[in-house]
Amino acid sequence: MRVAFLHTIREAFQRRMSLVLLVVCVLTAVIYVAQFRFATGPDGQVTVQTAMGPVAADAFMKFNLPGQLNFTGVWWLILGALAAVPLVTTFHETGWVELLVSKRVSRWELLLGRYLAAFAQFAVALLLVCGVPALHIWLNTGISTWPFLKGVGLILFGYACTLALATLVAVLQPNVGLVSVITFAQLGLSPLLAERHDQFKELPSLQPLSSFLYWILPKNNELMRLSIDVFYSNPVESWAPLWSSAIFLVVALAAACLIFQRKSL
Amino acid sequence: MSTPVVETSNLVKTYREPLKRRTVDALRGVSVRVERGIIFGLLGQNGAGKTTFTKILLSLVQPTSGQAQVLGGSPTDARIRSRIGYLPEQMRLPELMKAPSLLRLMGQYYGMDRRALEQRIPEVLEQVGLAGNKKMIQAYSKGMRQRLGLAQALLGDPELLFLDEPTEGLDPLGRKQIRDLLLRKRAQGKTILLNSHILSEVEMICDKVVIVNEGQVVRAGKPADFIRATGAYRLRVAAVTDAVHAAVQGVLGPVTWEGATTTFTPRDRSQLNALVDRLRAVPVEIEALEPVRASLEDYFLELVQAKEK
Repeated sequence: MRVAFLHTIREAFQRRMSLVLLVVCVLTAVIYVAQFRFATGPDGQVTVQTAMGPVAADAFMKFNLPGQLNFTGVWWLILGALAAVPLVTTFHETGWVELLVSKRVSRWELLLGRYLAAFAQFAVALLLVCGVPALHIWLNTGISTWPFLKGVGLILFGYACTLALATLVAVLQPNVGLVSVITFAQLGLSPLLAERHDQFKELPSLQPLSSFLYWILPKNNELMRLSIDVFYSNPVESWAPLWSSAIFLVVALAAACLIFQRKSL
Repeated sequence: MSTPVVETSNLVKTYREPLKRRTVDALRGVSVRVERGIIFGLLGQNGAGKTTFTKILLSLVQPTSGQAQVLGGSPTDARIRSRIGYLPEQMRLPELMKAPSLLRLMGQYYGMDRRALEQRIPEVLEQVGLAGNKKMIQAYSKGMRQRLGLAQALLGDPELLFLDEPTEGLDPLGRKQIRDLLLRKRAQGKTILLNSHILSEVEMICDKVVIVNEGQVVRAGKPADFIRATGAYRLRVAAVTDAVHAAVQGVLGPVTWEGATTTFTPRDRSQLNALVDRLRAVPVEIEALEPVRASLEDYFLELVQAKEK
């Protein structure tokens, strides 16, 4: 699995989309860090210089970081999926996959190695774009950014579930276009399914289907909301989005491995 | 009798096409035995089942029924696969890599030790004629890609090589180099399973050949078993003058000339001798008079055409 993982990481650096993702993340982190200046007043209170003037550090964190979580849960997730889909799809190409699986490596190791590398790519991207500002804030204010990082972890977990779906679809039909469409459809459906009772109020016939899809698919939208609740230390209404997405992750990866293991190449 | 390197028994593979509601029988009970240290040729038309057979031996395809043993074990065993080299027919290589990087990667997938790998890479590149090449794979010609494919198959110094059209895209000199390489590998005790459409090449280097048609082995044997006398003779003279034409026609009846050559089937040896006597009397210089032998290609074409009829 290690060989497949390292090979995929190397391949990611050769792909423009992965490079673009990392470069954009570095730039975003640099701009974020450069954008806000911290100052300590005579009373020892830390303030942040913003466009609206100085703001107390804890107040700044309460309005700025949830925005970061929202942004991460939508835009970075989409960019991450764009960069990852080719990594879990293109190695299935006829003439290349045979060369790989005819060697000593097991098929499941190959598949999981690629999955983990695609996941690691996004994890590094989030570490840059969220971890660096969090570290910057903590170093300058002394206020813990741990709740924020826990929220980022929940979004990252949602991404792992979406990537498992992409991996499964790629095993069934290794076509970058198709895998991309299904991946983005799942991400796009996530907020609709979370609000299915309101969204499909006028279409009662769609209710059973939307409920079914809601329960089986990863719940990225709710995980993002959960991340904000965790950040504010609000009481969490339900952990169902977390455990049901975890079940999806395990089942999708197990099915992908099993199908790939038995697939005629 | 020694343990065979490859042994299959009643191998059946049926592909299901649910959308078209039909099944395709790729293999219909193939039983083959390949001894150690030989070059074994697999012949057949496109779609005859050769590639499916090879893929089952590499565990790329699961058989519907039947048994396959490779190097004394199951091809699903990764340790067995690490002793096999494979060159697929339709090979796709990463374009943005150089040959040593690709071989390093393939060596890692083989589970090779890093030091052994670094030593082995220049050796195999030398063997296939790609030593010192600094180009990216995207700049490679078809022949160079084929050589690189062969290099990755040879990388782990495998006991058994599955080569699907190894000389495809190579010029005559390149083909000769690869043939010589395969013969050297055989001399080292390696076993090679060769799948080629170039039948003259198969005839030249294979020790044993099987012909597969519609998923079944229709004939197996040494290439020499397929090359047989046809009873016909080929005569070539210095020049076909009217006197020569009349002399030949006088003994054999009407014949067709292709330049200064004609092919005929004599009734018996005395008729052949009578022809020589008449030609000597003309006089004309006889450049060649030789029996016509059917090649492996002739045999293969006859067999396939008979099946089609």
